[in-house]
Amino acid sequence: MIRTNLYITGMAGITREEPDYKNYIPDAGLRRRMSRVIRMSVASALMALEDSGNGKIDAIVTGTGWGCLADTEKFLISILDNSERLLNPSSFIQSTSNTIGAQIALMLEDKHYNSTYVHGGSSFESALLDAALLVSEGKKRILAGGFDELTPTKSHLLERMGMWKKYIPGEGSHFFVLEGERGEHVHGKISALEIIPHVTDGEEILASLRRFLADTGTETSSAEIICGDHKLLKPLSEMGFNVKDYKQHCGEYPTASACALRQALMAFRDQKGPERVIIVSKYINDVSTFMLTERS
Amino acid sequence: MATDVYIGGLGCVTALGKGVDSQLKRLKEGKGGLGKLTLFKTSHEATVGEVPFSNKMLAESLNLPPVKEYSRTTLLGLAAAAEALSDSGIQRDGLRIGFISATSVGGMDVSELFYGEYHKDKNRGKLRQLIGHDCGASTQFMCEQLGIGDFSTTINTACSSANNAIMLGARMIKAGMLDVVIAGGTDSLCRFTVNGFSSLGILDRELCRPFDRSRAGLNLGEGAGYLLLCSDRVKTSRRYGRVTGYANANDAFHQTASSSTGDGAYLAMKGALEMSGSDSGRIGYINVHGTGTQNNDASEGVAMKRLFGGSVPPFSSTKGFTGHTLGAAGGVESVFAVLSLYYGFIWPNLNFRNRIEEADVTPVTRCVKAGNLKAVMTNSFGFGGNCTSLVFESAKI
Repeated sequence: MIRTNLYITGMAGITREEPDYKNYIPDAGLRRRMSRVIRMSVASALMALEDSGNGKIDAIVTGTGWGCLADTEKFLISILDNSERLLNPSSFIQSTSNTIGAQIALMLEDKHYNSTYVHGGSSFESALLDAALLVSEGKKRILAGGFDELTPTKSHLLERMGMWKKYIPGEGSHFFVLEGERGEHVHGKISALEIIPHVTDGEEILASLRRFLADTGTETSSAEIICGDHKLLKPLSEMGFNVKDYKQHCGEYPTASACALRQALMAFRDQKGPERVIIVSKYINDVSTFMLTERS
Repeated sequence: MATDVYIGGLGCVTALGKGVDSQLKRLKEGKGGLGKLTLFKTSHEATVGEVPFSNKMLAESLNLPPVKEYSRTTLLGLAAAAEALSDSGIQRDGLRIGFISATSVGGMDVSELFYGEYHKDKNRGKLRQLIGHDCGASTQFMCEQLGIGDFSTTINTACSSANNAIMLGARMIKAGMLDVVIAGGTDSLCRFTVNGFSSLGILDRELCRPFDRSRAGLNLGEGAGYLLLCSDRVKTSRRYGRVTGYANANDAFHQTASSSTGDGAYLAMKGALEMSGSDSGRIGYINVHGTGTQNNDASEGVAMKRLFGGSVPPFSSTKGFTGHTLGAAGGVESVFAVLSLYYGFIWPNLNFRNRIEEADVTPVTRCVKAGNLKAVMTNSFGFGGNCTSLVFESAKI
């Protein structure tokens, strides 16, 4: 478990409804060249920054499980259809997962630290771990985000694998401005983070979660759990927690925990809401992660 | 007080062969590993750096059951990471061990096979070929094979990926989160990248000529390179050196091209140097990114002049040996830089004749014995302006 103090001073997200991108990406040519995940992510990053009052940042860290699938597929098709001749490099250029972090850096002319994590269901948590390290190293403001786009092909392939019988299709992009010190306008803070390094299930994951709750001194009276692992909904509520299934809102995708973080922070807006929200996540058969968020 | 980060093990696979000893031998001899592409069919006449082993041979040498279809990225990565682990001779008991791997293509070599079928008919294609597609899947598989259980993640910042993996590993050890981290990167050749770099017009059909006036592009390569990093309290068979400086900066100029002022490269090198606390004269060798493209070498050359002025340290690009191994480049070249530091050699920059026009910098072209190297640097830069430099110093403080 990693203990940290990441104060969230800005947040934004796009899940089901997409905004008018013109306000954030005014260049029509650029907007057109961007795939949907790039548009969604760049816009939500700029929205999060705006929410925190804009200003300088010291790092950009992003996480994505699926990466830039639309451009990857587009380039693959062009290789097959054109027999490897006269290919347009645009989709190849935009196929790497760091395209989004890079595009944000370009638009903000930001030359600082910039990294991208691509580790399935713990990609966003890896970016948060990096942010926690950056803050401990003295960096002040970090822009962190998680995003995945459900392309028609990805959806079709997951359907062929039988996934949509058990899970709700999902996608989204969420960004946060994280600061090491408490500012004036704070949505809440992340105080602890755990990435279980192995794929575990059942009693084993419950034992890890119980340890996390005990180590963070979390009690049922003041904490709520938002859970993205439907197998855990029942046992957690039997433990006496108020449990919500956050994927009812955003569906199943590798960085859905970024959407959960936003949902947790929204809960703090209600004065009668919980003092703490624990986020429990798992993407399909991937590793589990826990996050402790607190009202601040 | 922050702990020092030591390098206690090395592992590497490239066109020069499997294992660190093969790399060392060929680097000393100045014998590159570039040649014709044979791994898959393509209409491109590409000169590449293929690892001279088939997937079957790699899987056998790793004792993996032959029934499964492994991505080449995973096989190459596992071979190198396992070597780094065994080379270190660590006793694992009681140590918190992490695995941080970088890759830019992931399981693309296998996904391409799937997609060829899927594209013809949406009900075709073996779904199990997609299990390894996501970059994280290769890391997770390697992690399980290596029995590493405390932390793992995957980084993809294109061609600077592996330097960022090593940087994160060093930071986690410094922060006391882990005792040991195997960090580096792996990438295999695939049709996707051959076509991608070809579409950008930056593949040279001839042997690449980094930092030469006549350079006309890069040769793609494949491979994997990992460092076993550890804190002071971990006992290893050898201590190859310490990681004393690292910096990640963004050029913020263009999605693929580097700025003519080399801002990103300059900031990364400057940041790593400052962090190491060394003055610039202490750097005895730089393993540069030096891809052989017009743009990279000009930009990197200008950045070196900006930072080091009239006394640019001896430097070379080793991409004439291995080709550009993309997401693995930082891992492979960190191994080369550490070998340079530990054994006291400066590796030659192959195929160089005349100095570039954009900056007054000339690489080392013959293997030079350089006793008493105190510090070396290695650069990796990628698409999206991602630039990361590392500084390694002798373990003797």
